[in-house]
Amino acid sequence: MGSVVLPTLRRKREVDTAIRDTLDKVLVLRFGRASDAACLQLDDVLAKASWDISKFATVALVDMDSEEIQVYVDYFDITLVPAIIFFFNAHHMKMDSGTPDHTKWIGSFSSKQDFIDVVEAVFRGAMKGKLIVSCPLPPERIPRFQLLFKDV
Amino acid sequence: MPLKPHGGGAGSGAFEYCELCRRNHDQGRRHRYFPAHRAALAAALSGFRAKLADLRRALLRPSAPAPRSRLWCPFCSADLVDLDSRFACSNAIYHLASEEHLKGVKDFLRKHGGGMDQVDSFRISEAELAKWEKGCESSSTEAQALANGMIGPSLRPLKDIQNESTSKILDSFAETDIPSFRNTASCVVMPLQSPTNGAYYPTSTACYGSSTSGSVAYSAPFGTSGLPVKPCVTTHGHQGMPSTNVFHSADARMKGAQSTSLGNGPNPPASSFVYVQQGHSGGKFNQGLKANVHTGAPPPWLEASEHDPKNVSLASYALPSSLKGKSRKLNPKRVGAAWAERRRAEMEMEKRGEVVPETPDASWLPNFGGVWQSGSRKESRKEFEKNHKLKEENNPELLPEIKPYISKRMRAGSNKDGQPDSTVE
Repeated sequence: MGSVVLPTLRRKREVDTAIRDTLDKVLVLRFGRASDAACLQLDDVLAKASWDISKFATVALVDMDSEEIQVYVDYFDITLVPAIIFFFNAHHMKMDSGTPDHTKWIGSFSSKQDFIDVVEAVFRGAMKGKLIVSCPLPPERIPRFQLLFKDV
Repeated sequence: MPLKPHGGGAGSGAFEYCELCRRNHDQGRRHRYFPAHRAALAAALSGFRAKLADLRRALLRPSAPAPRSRLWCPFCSADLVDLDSRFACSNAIYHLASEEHLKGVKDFLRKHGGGMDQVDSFRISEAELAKWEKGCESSSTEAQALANGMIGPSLRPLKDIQNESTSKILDSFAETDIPSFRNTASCVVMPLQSPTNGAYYPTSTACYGSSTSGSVAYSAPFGTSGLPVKPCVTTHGHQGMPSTNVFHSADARMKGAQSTSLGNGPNPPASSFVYVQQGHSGGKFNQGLKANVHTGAPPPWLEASEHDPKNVSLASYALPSSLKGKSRKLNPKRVGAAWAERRRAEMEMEKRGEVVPETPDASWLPNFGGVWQSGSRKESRKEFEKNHKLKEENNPELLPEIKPYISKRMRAGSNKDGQPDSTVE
């Protein structure tokens, strides 16, 4: 459902363009595969919320299995799917949500409103010049995961 | 007197007037090191630099509308008036490239302090001027070709017409300006016969402004200029329909300017001829009636989307945020503000077709902060690129090394025999 409504990027050039040409708006990049169950649920949330946040955010899906996207998968170090990365004016936005990885949001959102809150927090932080924002959600609604560092 | 009595040194007892600080002082050469003077100098120089930046933009596009009609040159204390509509700011450009301006700049900087190394940033170089002149020539020859010799080598006949329609206001107008301006002023003032000089100006500038901005209703100024040819106006209405803003380029503007001026001139038959011709060439320009909404042609946005559907859709996603009025109230300290401004300007230029859309190379990556708090985001990208390159470099190196070892003797033997390797092995 979500992948029908939202643009799906399958080439590196498309992702580049999305990052470069989204100005003064939060760019929400969802890395994942449409076959994944958690991803489907997240896509649904994104698709439903994308209109509500369309004034200050753009949502795009990135197909992880594409050949050209592997550079970004490596670069963003995406191992768990789905993963959401926020950009603002071609700058990466971090979010401190109490999880080990601040660089991306891993997992789904329990509701549409949660996603909107998170994007709004990112937008407000970015407009104040902050590169990292803290998560507005209560900890019980943040998906947990364990991050293992390979070369540490 | 608030000034301290100067203690000998280089200062002379006489008072002199500093035009930057706008006051008299008896500090002599020391005055230019005073904070107030330095601040005034910096303000004046930066103000002039900003104006010059505008002018350089006009330099790149000779046929674009003038960014400013007059420019005060603080170095030469000259007011450079530019009402010439043909090429923007030609008077100012010629002045800024001239020797006297260079001398003025040097004298000014010597007198008021400030590095002499900045001299080049306050003038226009010969190379730039030559390039601009070439651009002017090419656009004027294009316009002439379109006018098919009716207007001819532009300046001289216009001058003749000016002499025919002798108006005293015109003469007095020309006298008030710098002599080098005189030739160019005739272009604008030429169509005026009646002494309603001041009243006409707004309409003429509005005409140029609207035609260059590529609005659909650019036939309206022709209506106001009182042309007697009815059917041509209707064809104009047709050509206005396809929304090909891109085609309203310099040539269209040039044609518009000339036909308008002739329409007001003393020769109605000539004006009608030129006008008809302009209508035809305009039709050729816009693909005539073929690409029209009435003929059922596909709308331009669908054509554009055939090229690169994803890019266009994303660009359209991004566009609502890039409205001009919005950026004024945005926080200047927001994340990536500089990037946004630069990129927005680039996109505007690309949209107008001035700059070829620069495609990011395949290795472009955004800044990405790693999991560590320390270190900047650029560093993490650099590190990744380094690792990535190492990996890529390693791979091709590994492949040839896998080949089995062949001793020198064997290789030499195979070469001597002139036989393929398989027999040797």
